[in-house]
Amino acid sequence: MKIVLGILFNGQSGTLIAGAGRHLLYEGKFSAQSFLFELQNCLIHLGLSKEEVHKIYLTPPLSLGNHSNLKPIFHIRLVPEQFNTSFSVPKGIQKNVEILQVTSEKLIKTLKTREEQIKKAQVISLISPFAMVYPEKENKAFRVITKFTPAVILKSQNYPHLGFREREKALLMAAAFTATINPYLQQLREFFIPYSPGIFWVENEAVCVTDNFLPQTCGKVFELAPLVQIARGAAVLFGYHYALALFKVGQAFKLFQVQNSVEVSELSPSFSFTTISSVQHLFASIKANLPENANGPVPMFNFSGYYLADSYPYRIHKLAPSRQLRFLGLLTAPAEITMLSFCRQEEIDKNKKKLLKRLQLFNKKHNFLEKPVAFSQETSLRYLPFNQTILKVGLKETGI
Amino acid sequence: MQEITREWIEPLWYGSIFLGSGGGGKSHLLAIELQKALQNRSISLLSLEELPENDFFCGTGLFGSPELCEENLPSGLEAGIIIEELEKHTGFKFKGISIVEGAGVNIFYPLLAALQTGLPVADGDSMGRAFPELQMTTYHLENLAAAPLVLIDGNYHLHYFLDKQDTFLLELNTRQIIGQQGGVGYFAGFPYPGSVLKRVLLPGTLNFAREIGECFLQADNYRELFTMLLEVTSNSFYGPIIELFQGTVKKISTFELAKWKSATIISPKGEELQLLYQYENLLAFKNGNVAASVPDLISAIDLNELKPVNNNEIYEGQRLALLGLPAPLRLRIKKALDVVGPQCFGYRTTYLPLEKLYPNHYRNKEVFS
Amino acid sequence: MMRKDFTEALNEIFGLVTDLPKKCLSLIPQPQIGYRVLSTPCTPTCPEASTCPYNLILTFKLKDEGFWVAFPKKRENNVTITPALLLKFLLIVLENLQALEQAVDNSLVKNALQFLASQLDTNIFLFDSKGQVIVSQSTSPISLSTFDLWEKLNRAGEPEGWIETTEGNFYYRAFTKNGRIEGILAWKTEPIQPEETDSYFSKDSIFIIPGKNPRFLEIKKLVRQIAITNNTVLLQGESGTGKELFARYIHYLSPRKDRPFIAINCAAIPDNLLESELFGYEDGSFTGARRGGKPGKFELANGGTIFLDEIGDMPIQLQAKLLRVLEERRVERIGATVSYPVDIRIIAATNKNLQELIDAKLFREDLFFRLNVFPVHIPPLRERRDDIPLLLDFYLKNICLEQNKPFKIFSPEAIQILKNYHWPGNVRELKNVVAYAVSLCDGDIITPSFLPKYLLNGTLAGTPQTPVITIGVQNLESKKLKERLEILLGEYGHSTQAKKLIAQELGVSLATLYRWLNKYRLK
Repeated sequence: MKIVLGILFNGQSGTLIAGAGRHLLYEGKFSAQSFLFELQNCLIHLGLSKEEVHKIYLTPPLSLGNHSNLKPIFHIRLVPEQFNTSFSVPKGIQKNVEILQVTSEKLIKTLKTREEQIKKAQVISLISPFAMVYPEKENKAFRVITKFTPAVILKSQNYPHLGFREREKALLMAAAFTATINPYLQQLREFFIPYSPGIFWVENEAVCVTDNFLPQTCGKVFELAPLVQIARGAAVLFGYHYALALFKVGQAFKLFQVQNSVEVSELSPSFSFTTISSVQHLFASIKANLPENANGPVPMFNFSGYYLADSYPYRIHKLAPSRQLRFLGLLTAPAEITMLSFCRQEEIDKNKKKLLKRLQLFNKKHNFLEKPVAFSQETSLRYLPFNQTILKVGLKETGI
Repeated sequence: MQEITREWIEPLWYGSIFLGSGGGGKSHLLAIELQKALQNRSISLLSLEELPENDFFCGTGLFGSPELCEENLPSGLEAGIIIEELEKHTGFKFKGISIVEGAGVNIFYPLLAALQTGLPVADGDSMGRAFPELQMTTYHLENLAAAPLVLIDGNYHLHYFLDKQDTFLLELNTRQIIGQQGGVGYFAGFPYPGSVLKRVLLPGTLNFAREIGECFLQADNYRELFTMLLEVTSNSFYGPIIELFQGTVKKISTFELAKWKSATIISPKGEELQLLYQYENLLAFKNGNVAASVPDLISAIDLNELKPVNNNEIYEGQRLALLGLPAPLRLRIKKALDVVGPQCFGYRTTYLPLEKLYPNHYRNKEVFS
Repeated sequence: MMRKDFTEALNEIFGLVTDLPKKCLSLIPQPQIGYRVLSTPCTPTCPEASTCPYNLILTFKLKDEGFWVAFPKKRENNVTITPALLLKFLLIVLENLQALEQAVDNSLVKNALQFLASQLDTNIFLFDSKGQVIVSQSTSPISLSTFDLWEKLNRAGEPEGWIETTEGNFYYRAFTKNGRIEGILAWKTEPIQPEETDSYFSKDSIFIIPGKNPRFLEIKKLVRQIAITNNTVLLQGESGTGKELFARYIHYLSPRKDRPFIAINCAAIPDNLLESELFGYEDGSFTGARRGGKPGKFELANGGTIFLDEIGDMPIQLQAKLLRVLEERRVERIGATVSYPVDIRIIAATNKNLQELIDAKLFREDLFFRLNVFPVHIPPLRERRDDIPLLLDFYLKNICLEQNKPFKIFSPEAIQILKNYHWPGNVRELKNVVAYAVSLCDGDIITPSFLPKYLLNGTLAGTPQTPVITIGVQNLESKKLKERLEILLGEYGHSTQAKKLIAQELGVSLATLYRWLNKYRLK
């Protein structure tokens, strides 16, 4: 049997789960100290050997362990003086981040005044606007900071998300990952020696952590990860190939679509999705454009607490979000590995082939994905004197 | 006078993409920020008729790559700086903000500037859609300069273009600076009084964009959407929309040496349409014949989402409807076509109006004779 | 035992067939679990497919027993499966199935019911005795709380009828047994929307009445609403406001769209000819009558729309005849002894105040009431001045295309003049002015020098325009009109050709011009 392990680091105690296919096989709690013991326990309980653990899925929340007042992440925003100062740290990691907003000119001076703090930080994250197109500033600052601390320094240029805030979110997530989860990664790897099961980070899709694949997708749907996983879990539990799932988060509704049994995507519009009539309206337009694999009645998992009547073709299943659904959705997340490159338009095809080849070699070596299919995505940056495109190439698993 | 409230932002969003004709860019963050800012405030919107003759307005907007706009999300602060600088150098005290490019991000940025300065916005623009270059404006057609103009780049450096230099030259100069300084910048320029704007600007752009956007919010299906868009566009200074094509994107290709990209769309019946674009959608070919040409607008609608999409969002396998919208007459007279016609983008053919390409659709059931 | 009860009920109440011929059974696949609904033919190889009397077959298995229910085809058995009938059937099935097998998987029954319900193009709710929804379906998402619906149904009192909801009216029927409600069915019949995949590419040409003035928008909306009915419409408005355009618009939006639209101007045809034009005549009914007779406009419009323009100018004796057509929907040719039924929609138009004509005994009051079912007042252009720039743009574009000229625009000065002009000839005059300017101007920009001269001396330049037109101003305008007519007559002469030119210049029809000339005694 090949099983998937899931690990959630929630608060003071983490949860360890295990599953295979549609089946949830094990659930147990652990603390920072009892982690390895619980892991061992799980395998014994299931009568499995280490070899049979195929993949290990990690997912938010991120915190575990007893933090002192010391903040493990020191975040440096290298920006012009007039820069928009509004700032939002992803939920759950606020307490771990110390922020410094500074101009490049004043960097050294400021670092000196906070030397103590920097030296104690486990991770330094560094961001400046336009770093993907103009990485020099970050590189220069990187060299300066290395003189202050031996800690891990993450540069935002390696997090190829368009938009400063998007990139900052991903960067901070990666920093939090490095600070809180890396110690466990070490333990996990040692535990499974001589085997090396793939270790993945799951928000929506499962992204391989080995070889630094993390930056490309972490932080993207961090806040929504539980909902995405519950939606997938429900579709898996009821065995639907295609389904919709409706949630209510604060004022806003969130609507997800599950395709091919496990691929989840968000359908909620970007604005004002807060009234039940806007939900009805969206249903009406979805109905007109249902994909081919959604023949017949369309199951709709209603987690919102609002009453909805069956309405052809929608068949409403009123459900409450549950841990079991989330666990199932986590363990069945389709795995993918992606690579990005920032290239000129003319080089797209060449680069695509190159990246794909590297991914395939990587996968062959580690045997992470079974029956992978390739995909790619291009985002061109327009109106620049040079033509630049962000090219994303990936391999993903096909269903469960 | 109208008030732009929070409720305007969502319809404006879709309207701005539609009028972008494939380009113009978009910033969701900027729209959300505006929505937040408008929670307990509003912006005065003056129709061109209402503009005070002798008060000066300041044109403002984003230069460069709208995709990079979110790299250094404008706070409005920079708008305050450049407008003040322009006031210093021209001696005018501005009484309002005008829109230069009534599409994409550049519909939203002037609203941010208006919030920052507390000034009203004039409901009109000088492009009627998205265009990539500074001289493709109705100002230029009236021989009115863009300068004096102040530009602030991504690193908050100010650049001044105070002499009334040729607009085309100004375009080249600003572009160079933007390219070296973060890829995005904001400008204040086109300082003209109400009396000039009344003559020069295309009227009602914001209201039109909003009406277009409302169609996308209200329609439940494509048929409804088309009917609503038809009604809105028929009663505008543009003209009735037409469906150019409906199908699935089969292939997207890049031409190595030219600036052009093309998308091949195939209909269920097997017909093919080629969409040619640079920043904006510029030409469409069906069976080797021109099916639409710039300056007429060619806007793509994602049929699964029933929402307008930019051409950098088109992907293979996507189901699209391509709609044509006749450009305002001001962009289609001979003099204008010399600046915004197909040959200005490197295509040899002359402009063919949608009405001539589709006489059956546009044959009016008109009885006055 | 139960089986017998069940099948008998189905047979007697609904005429549904439960005993299928053996040869059929061999072709119908038996589900091991659940149910199956087949549309006939059951298999493509059925030798009797063409003569199969059924249209739907439902099979299911319970306690190892197979059941078959066949729904006969509508026409042959004269049974129409109405929502009520089908759902009553569903109720009975449900009741019997539950009695038959306590342990039966409820979802199976529900699935079967749901499937059957989906065969109907309707919104339905089926409640059990406790108000739980057993089956519901709607053709589009509706925001209606079933709890509210159930409350309403319970309060309704009558065993059947209809109730009002925010989603429209629902018919309902309660099923009772021994005086107790066993269930309630509520349904609403709505046509299912057609498929949306078809392209608009090769569709019919579009129909636009340009205008964004709020009042004008209201009128367009009203017209769109009444267009789909068969009601008579009375269009009132000044000359040149586009009454015929609206009449065509109504026809275009109506189900009669593809049938004839016949327009006749009652003022333009001499009184003695109007009757035969409208009603036609039989062979030899009068001297000069055509051999074989001639159909009238009413007959020609059969199935479509007839547009009677300038109805106020219809001779009073003809009005009586028209009234009969309106009342009986039959026409009688002149000289004929029999009348033909006609299916026509009548749209009448006038620029006169019919009430005044009635007072002056020039128009029949009873005819007025017949015509005035949906009165639509089309405002004159001066009352929607805000539309002038849009109309100028619209006609400028279309006239350039018509004349195959490159596009042009008006200079701001020209627009200013056109915006200030009082447009007595309304939209028609505006269009003529645009056409005039386009034919004279070879350049890109139409400046004031390309506008008709009378706009420039335009009397009105300088006088501020108030949007509210008082009677005093109207008199003033009528004085101006008289002056202008005199000038034009002096310029062009009095010949018919001259009058045509004058009418064109003023943007009015020849009939209107004649009326004005009469009014001001300028003949």
